[in-house]
Amino acid sequence: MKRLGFCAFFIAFSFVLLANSLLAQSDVMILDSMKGLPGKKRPPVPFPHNLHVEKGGSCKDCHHLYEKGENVLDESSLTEGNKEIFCSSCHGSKARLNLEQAYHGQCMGCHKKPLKEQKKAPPRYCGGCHIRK
Amino acid sequence: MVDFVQGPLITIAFIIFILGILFQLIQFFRLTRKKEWGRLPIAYEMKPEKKTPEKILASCLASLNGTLWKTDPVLTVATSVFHVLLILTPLFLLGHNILLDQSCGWSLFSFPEPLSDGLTLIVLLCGVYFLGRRILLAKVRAITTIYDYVVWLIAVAPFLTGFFAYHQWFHYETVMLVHILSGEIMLITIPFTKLGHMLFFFLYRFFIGGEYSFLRGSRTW
Repeated sequence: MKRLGFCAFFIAFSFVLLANSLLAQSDVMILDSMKGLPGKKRPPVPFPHNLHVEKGGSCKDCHHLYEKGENVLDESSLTEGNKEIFCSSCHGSKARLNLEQAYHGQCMGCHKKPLKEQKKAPPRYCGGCHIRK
Repeated sequence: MVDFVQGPLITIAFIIFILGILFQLIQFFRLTRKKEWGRLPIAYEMKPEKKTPEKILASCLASLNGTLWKTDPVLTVATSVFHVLLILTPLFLLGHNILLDQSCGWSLFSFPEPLSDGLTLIVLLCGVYFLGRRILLAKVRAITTIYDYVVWLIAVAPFLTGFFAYHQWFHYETVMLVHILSGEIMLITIPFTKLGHMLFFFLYRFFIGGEYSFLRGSRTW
């Protein structure tokens, strides 16, 4: 009986570990919306969303919808699969900032901050995010 | 240190580069100023000659006699390619232009990255050729000092580190830091070392050349 209990615990523990690793993997989004668009490209960026949530103060530090210079985004619209919140829904090829400029501006805005202002150094150069295999 | 190299030092390097070049240019004109300039007598009357395409071509080819093209064509090609690519490759590099766009809101046209990579490799091969000449050829070795090797390193280092950085070889962040630093060192040293031929080549080649040919000893600048 004791042995059976141990086996059940071991199996349950394995499932928890497996689920945990799967969830951790799904956290890393591959930013490849540039795929298919014209222009010169580097490899798509693996983006650990949760890590950025931990670092950032609020969702609206990155996600935005500007009206008259004010970020009026409704945070409840930030749901998975909602295409209206994709960067590409506003930053098209004819926008003031195209998708590439929007990505670079958004990411490098924080990543280029002086090291002394950051606890742990984020990638600072192109290849830190556009990783070659 | 890292913040300084990738921040203020870039601006400082560009300011020293531009001010240094302006200073050298002013110095060049100041030192060559003279109250009176004599004119050499004309040795013979120039007769207008009827130029046919064959004659123009023949005179162009004849002008190559006695130049480096006749004595060392490989060096002529290597040095021409090296100098052209040394300027073009970094100007039209995608990574540089994206940084330019981010900081100034405008950028130049960019080459496709595999092309820039190939051009960088050509610059490096030319660099290896020049280094090989300095080490292996007695006549070049005889006039080579440690200063020449330092200048060679200053010119080649940004390309070598840039090549490593593009391929993400070795420790990427360190390679990039050395790449930025080597570029800054190059900019700072251009006006004050023999790398200044980037500017003075044009003055020597066209102004002084013109003085002794077209305009008979008169100062043309």
